[in-house]
Amino acid sequence: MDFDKILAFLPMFGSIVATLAVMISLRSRMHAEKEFVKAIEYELETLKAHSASFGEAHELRQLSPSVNESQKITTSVSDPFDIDLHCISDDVESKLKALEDLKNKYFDSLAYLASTRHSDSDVIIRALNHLEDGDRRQINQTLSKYTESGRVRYLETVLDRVAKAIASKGKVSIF
Amino acid sequence: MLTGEGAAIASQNEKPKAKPLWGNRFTAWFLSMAVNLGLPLLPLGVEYALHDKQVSASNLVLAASMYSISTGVVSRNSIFLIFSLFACIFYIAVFGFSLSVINFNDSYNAVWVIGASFLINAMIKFKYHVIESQPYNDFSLRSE
Repeated sequence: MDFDKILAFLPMFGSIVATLAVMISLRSRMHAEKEFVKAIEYELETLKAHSASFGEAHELRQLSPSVNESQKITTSVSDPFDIDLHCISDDVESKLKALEDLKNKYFDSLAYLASTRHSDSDVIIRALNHLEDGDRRQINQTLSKYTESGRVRYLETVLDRVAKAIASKGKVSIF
Repeated sequence: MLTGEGAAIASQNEKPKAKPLWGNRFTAWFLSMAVNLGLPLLPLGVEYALHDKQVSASNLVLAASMYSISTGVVSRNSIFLIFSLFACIFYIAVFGFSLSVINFNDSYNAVWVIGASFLINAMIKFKYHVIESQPYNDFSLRSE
């Protein structure tokens, strides 16, 4: 084969291979982005669901005075019931406390995300952990390439997409 | 919008911020394409218009070398940089050779390389400006 033709063929071949490589890379990057948005959406919805269960616990708290009243009545009738009712009451209180913490965490996370768009936010870290290795690597590469304001700018874009995704499902808007 | 307690906490930490919209990001991408990819092709376009709708092979080769190195520099991948350096040096060598030959008319597939480099650059810039929201026209943030 003519050396001239080989020389002419090599750059063309290289450029075609490079174009295909960039196309594949861009596709996987967009896939990672899509999964990241889904993961954040899932995290926020999970937190919201936990927050809803706080409401149920709050109802239990409303019931607890009546439990105490029945406790008093029961105490006068039979002593063994007294211990059981104490246990139930403590259990409700501890559950309530745990849910209250969770609820605060939920609002803190939302507020933190909404105000700072910080990359070390709990929600972002947990969402990254949901991703597959390849997708997580892609997102981490993006986050590591930029300065703090660059990361904030990128996360702002991602969170806008999350907010749009949630709004499009007809759910309550978050941001 | 946050509601209730979340809104109260958010409003405490709220600070003014520029919100990049999809429109801004696409504008950045188009601007980047026009300035970084369109303008370097202008000499070829001028030659095409003035020189009886023909572009000399030596100018195509020169454009290919410039385009290939610009692709390598823009990319974050070191393999791309190495290959683009090879392509750049190859086309510079061909350009040097073209100066010593009177009727040089073999462009060594420079048009292919220019086209592919344009596509690669466009995709890389799409990633930077549209996906990662990197600004183009905000020069204070160009170093990021």
